[in-house]
Amino acid sequence: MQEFILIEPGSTAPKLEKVEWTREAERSTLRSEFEERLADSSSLAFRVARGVLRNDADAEDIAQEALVKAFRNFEDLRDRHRFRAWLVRVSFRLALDRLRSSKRRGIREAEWIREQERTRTAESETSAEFQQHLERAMAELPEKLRLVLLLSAMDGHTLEEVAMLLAIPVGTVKSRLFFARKKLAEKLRCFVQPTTNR
Amino acid sequence: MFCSTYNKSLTHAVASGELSPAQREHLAACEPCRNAFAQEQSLFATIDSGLSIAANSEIPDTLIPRIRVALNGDPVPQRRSFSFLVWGFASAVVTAGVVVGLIHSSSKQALVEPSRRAPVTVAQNSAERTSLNSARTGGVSPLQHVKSVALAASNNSTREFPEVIVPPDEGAALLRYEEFLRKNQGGVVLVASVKSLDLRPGIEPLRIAEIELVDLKIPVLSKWDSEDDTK
Repeated sequence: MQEFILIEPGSTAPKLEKVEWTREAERSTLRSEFEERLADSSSLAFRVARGVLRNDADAEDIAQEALVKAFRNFEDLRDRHRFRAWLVRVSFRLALDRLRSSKRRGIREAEWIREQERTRTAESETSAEFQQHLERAMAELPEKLRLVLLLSAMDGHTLEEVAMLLAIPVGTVKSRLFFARKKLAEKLRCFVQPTTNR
Repeated sequence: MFCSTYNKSLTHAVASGELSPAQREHLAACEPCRNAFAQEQSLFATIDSGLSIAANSEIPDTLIPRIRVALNGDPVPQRRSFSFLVWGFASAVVTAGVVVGLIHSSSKQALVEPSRRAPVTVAQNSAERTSLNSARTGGVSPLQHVKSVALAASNNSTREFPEVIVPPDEGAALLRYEEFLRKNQGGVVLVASVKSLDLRPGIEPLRIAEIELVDLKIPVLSKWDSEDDTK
């Protein structure tokens, strides 16, 4: 958002030093640049946090915290790719930190189960149960595999983009993705009803 | 279940989503493998759809407004200016100065204190004896005296030599004390410190000969009593 100062015709401009003017202009430019990225980057931060925490309220907190941090460091993060990569890392770290707080975890689990039970209908019961197992299995994956899995499952993320976000080669993304999916399959095989022979 | 020869490679193919021509051929020919492959594919499809749900959760409407509020409350980022560096450097210098001053003053105090405590020189001649007696009447108790000797002797680092002012009647007491210290190993410190003294020419250090313990001879009291009675 740009800041303007209205000056009446004939009157003199407010007595601001040249340095202050420059600083003000810089601040407003920074803010407007940040605002441009807010919608896109807030959803990225939220989804990364949600993938770890499995709870909307906590994920919202983490996204906010990550973006406030990002704004503080925005001077060094003006490059778009760098910014997104930084945000992913910070959101993931913050979310993991929160998850590790055992007290909160216990409360969250209880809340989550209650929420699931409330929203569950007869039709969606099976899929909801599977989703529950899937998210638990994801939570048990090693951090590196989990993050790759999450980012590549997000809409619009190609393997190359994931590689760029995590600053790792595409080959590494592929192999991590492969191992993550394989591990999930091993854990979830027993929860999926076998299809009939075709 | 896949055929044993294709088990590993087909499992790998399902997870990676890439089939080689040889695998395709085998699948076309082998029905059990085809069925197993279909089952595995269905499992991975279920997992992928579940992952997509988990990873693309709906963004709450409140998210962006609350971030904006948080950003408005947060101070606007600024470049670290020159003045910040100057102030940082200045405060570091001042802190360092204060710390050095404190260390210096405390070490100086530590050097001065032992010299205040300690009298030196073993008095043997008569001229000194008189002054000694007056000092003694000034109220230095034997206990304090002993304490000062012990303290000064144990404090070698200050290079202040113990000054022991002893009137002749306390000489015997000092000898006994020396003996006591020897027995209790404290004497090692005292003797060692005396040996290391650089005394000014003309001053002889007090030499303590081997001590002989003899029974105290006390006159029989009954004699005195009988004399008093007669008076």
